[in-house]
Amino acid sequence: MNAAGKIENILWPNDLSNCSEEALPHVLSLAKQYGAAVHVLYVAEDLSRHDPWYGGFNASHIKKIINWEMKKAKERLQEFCQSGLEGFVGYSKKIEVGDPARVILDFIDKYSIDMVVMCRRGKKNNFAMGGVSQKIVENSPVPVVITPSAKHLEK
Amino acid sequence: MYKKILFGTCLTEYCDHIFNYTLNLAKDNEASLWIYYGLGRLNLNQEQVTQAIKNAEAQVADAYVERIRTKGLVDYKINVSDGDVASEMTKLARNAGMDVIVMGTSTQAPISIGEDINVGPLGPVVSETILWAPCPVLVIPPSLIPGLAQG
Repeated sequence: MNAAGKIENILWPNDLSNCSEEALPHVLSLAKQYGAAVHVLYVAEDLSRHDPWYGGFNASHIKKIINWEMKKAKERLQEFCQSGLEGFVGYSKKIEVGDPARVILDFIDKYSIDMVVMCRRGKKNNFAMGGVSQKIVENSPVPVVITPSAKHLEK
Repeated sequence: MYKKILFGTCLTEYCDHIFNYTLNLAKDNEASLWIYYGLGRLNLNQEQVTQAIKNAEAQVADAYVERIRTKGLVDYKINVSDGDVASEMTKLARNAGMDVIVMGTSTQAPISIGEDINVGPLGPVVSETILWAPCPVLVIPPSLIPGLAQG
């Protein structure tokens, strides 16, 4: 809720993982309850920000990889939204490049987000809590809802 | 949306603000509001534990019940227990079928110790609750506190 006691903008950071998808019912329920807009955000990792530890690399290769990821992400996000958000009109989707946690935090400021909903695990699924989720909970200026993954609930 | 809300408190000033947010959430959703206060592991005998729980329940009631009634909510419960806080709280959430747990980032959040509103590292209780919770966990940052909000 913002200062006026409303939730007008909900951010759903989405890395196109199963876990992200599992947060969707929660996002939709909140959006319908509060009449909020849903912002779907995919962040492509900016590979060029890594130091060239083993010597310089060709920047054009990095650019090609990022462009390919952006293209694929755009297609998959489109499918994702068409199936998951069908019939829900108040959503927008965006693809950005950069450090995922940094981009999400900037997005919160830029679009006056009132609440973030994200899954506990990320795409890599290596750890009980994803690194991006952790950074967002630790640094977000707005409330964050962390949803458990179905895999976790089966245990 | 949320029919059962569990508010985890440590009775600090920061929790007071989080409680306001939780109250609004409960009102909006016409939800049942459960308040959990964990005493941690107590090195006391059974009688002393029972007394400590009784005292803590009175403290929680003092801190929140008046505001719950003022808000017009009637469906609420206070739950106090000893034992590991995150473990007890998530167990309660599981057994009672909670829809969401609401809590702050840390008992040691800067606002709680009279410093600035920047979000610090997550406290151990919220970190473990996120990992073990059977339902979504809503974390309210100190920066949301009225009058101190960023931006």
